[in-house]
Amino acid sequence: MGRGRIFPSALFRKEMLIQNLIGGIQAGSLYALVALGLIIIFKATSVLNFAYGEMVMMGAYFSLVFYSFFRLPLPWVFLFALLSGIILGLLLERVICQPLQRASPMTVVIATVAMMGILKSLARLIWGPGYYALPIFTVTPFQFFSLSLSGNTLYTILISVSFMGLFYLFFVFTKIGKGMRATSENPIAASLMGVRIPRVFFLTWAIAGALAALTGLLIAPLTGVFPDMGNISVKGFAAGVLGGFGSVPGGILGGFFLGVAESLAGSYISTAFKDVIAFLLLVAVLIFRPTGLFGKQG
Amino acid sequence: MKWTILGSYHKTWVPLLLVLIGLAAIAPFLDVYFLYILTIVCLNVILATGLNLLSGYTGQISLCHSGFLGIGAYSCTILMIRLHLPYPLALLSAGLIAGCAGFLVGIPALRLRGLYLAMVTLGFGEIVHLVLHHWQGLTGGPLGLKVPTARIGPVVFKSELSLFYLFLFVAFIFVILARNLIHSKIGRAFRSIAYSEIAAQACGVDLAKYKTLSFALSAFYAGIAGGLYCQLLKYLSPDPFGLFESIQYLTMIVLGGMGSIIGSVVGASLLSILPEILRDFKDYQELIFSLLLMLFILFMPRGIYGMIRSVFRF
Amino acid sequence: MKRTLVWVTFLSLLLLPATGQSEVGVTANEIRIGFYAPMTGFASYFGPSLRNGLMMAVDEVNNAGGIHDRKLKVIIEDDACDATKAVAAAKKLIVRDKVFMIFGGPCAHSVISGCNLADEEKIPLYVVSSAEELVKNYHKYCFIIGMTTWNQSRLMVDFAINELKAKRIGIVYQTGAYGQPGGEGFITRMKKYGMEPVATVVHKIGDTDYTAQVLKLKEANPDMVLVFSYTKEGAMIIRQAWEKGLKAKWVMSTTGNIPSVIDLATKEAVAGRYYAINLTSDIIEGPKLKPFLEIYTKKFPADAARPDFPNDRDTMAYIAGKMIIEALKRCGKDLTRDKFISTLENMGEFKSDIFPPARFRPNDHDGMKTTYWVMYDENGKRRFIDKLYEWNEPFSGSAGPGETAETIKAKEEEYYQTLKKK
Repeated sequence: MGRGRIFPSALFRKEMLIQNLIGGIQAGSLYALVALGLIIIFKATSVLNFAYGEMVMMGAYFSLVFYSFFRLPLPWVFLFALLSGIILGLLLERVICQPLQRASPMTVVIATVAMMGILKSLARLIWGPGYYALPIFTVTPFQFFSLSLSGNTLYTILISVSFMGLFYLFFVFTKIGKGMRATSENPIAASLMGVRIPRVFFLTWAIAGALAALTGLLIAPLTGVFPDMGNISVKGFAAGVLGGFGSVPGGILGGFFLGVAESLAGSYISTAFKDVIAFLLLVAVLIFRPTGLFGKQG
Repeated sequence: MKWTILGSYHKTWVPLLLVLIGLAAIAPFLDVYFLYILTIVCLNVILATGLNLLSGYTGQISLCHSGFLGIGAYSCTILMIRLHLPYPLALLSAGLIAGCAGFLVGIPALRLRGLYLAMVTLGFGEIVHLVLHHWQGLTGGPLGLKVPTARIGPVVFKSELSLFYLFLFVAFIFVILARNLIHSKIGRAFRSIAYSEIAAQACGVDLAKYKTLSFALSAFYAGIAGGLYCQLLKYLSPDPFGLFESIQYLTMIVLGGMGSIIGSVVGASLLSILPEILRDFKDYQELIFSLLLMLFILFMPRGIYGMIRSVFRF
Repeated sequence: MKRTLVWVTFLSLLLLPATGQSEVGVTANEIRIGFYAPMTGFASYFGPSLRNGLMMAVDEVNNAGGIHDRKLKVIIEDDACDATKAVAAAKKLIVRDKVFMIFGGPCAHSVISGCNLADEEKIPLYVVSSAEELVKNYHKYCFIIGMTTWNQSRLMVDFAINELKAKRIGIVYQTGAYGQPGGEGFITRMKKYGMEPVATVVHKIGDTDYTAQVLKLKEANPDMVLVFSYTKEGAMIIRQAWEKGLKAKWVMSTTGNIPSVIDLATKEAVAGRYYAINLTSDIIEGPKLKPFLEIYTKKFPADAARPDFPNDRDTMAYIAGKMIIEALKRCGKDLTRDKFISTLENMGEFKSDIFPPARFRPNDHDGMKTTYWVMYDENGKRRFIDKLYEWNEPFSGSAGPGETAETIKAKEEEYYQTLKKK
């Protein structure tokens, strides 16, 4: 069935590697963005948000509505999508986090699973099960030396890396960001230091919601908008854990690592193997480094 | 290791026996559709009980139980087709093979906790799913396998009624087994691990032994369930053994009540029957199901059995 | 003595075949048809199409007075594209709703399990699906129009080589019950022409990054790529291939016959280089399909407003409905399941305005083996290709009574071997 090894001829070797890396980085940047959102929520509120993928999906649908239905110019689409994402994040915080503050982690997980189902079935009922296209970026490839690149790839990588940079700066340098980090380390100590925990929770989910919506807007031109878009959260979790779920840079690096690994495995081993490499890596990494590749030990 | 099959636990197994006899008595009068649903309930009860041993009692999350189910189902079928093993032997072997897989997953689990443990089980489950899909020579690939009808002695399990009796009987045995396990030394070791690993170790509990044992036992249950499952449709495909289904099984025990055998039975029954009850809602089935789930969780965060316990204070 | 006589009479009456007893699902004024398809879940794209198509045909005949004074009643159930749930739906339809026959589709495992059940319960099952497994072994009670992956893949190869003069063919297929038989079909059919794919590439449902696959194709330098995947995945592959500079032509299976493919794949990537199977006698926007489209939009305005509705599934379900109705009519007032089945088998060609003739035979329950084609022209506009491709080899993908999947596979291999020798 053609699953044998392909040894590229000399002509293609270097080019193929670079194209693979670029493709891997593009896919990886999306995984990293999803991982980022998952980690933010987990670090600050200890919630494993299985509904994050659906928040991304809703962001894509919101963008679609603002872009194709209301025909707003792109900057407004961006802004409104952001706002919708924030509102959705806050809604989830009220519905899931608040009532289940003292519940066991498993219960909260199942609550997010229920929310995942609610959002997905709502999307199917409102917009139907088919896909909508959201062509925001140009596609005509241009030649860069001997490589074919497309505007899509560049925009995706640039924008997602910018988001990640912004968030990193936010967490490290702003007062609110520091408060969030303190809460995730030790909520009691943080509140003794004057950090208002409910406000941190509120902000965390708002930010995660905004990030989710923007991620949806970014993914939509590549894949179309459809109710099952949220399945990317599985790869996001895997990427985050691979890198080390305890830290933002770790999760981001995990995302890129996963994207590139998939691309390389697909090219150099077999396309069928591409399916399975993500999970093999996950299991392998966790066996040898239980807190992820870049996570802190112990 | 002492087993008390008949003992002072008549408070639980007598009611269960009554349920068994009651169901067995009315079964011939039920129609094929009803029996089919009840058969699925029995299947899920076995799975949920096994999962509860691992996640509820020992506190280790598993997101790969549909993988163990799949291993059990395919093992049983392949053993029947290729090695012509009689069904009871194939069924038991399926359980053992799945149990070994569980043991293997349990080993890395020794060093992992919480999210990381969940992810390693997720990875394992997805790998199993993909192997079932791609290893066509063994599993028939995505187009599936036709499963030979089981027979035990002169009895051929072809009719819905006969299948129901089989599933009911096995479910009963395994629930009783679990109940005994929980009240034995092993069960106490499990619970101590969930409560505090350090304290358990301090009390002399061999963490490695009991953690891997809980994985193996839990997977054994799933394997047995798998061996039964393959008889349900007499047709097997890799599709129902994915992450989504694993999450469904976790939902069953959280909904029913973690750390409780009765909780497993209640949760499994409810989640198996609910989709059928919701059929009349046509296109809104999915939404209503998820909404109900959310309501259950919000109002009964300790599960249905947990709520019953706190209401009746026992 | 008298009492014994009474008992004997009573018991023997019980044992007499009940005369004048009608078939299950048939009453004096009603024929009940059960229906299951994915109405919820990830495949809920298909369910409403099948329902709408069937209901169009059913409402048409009911409004005209029904069949021999009986109205058709359709009971709709959901299978969520899951075999266990499909069987639950089928069992409910059989024992609770007591239907005469079942109509369903399109998920492979749902229809295969449904077919096994239909054989057991001796109830006719008519599916709209591409699952070739349904006819690879003989099932008396199961009928399929599809087109099956078996026929699609082989006709796509024929089209690529005979019509488009392909010399170097690469193939892409999706792992899973839809794509895998398609991919295998490509490889097998190419043997007729003594060819092999220059590259074989697979992917999973839901994949979004196809860098590895595209690079592998590019390296093999095909002039034609055959794709057996779902709509989105196919569109994404084509677009990403274009971005990476692969300049080949593309032929897609019936999932590629969706007008909005161009939105996801982009015009530059498909203009003048994209072909797909088009089962209807015209493209959905075309003049021949206009009457169908008008009625559909009036009946189902909400669905018609969604992108890509109606599509091949709606039209196929409509034709399937009409075939069922025709067969029911020909059975006359005295309707039984066995009569219905033999009528379907011997009805001959079923002609309609919107499809080329469909036909079952006693040894072949696969009703659709013909297709037209659609392409995107240089301006990115969809154009109908009025070339009818039929399956007319001395063997088919369907097993007759006594045949099995192995025997028909052997027949095909043998045939290609003899061609080679010539």
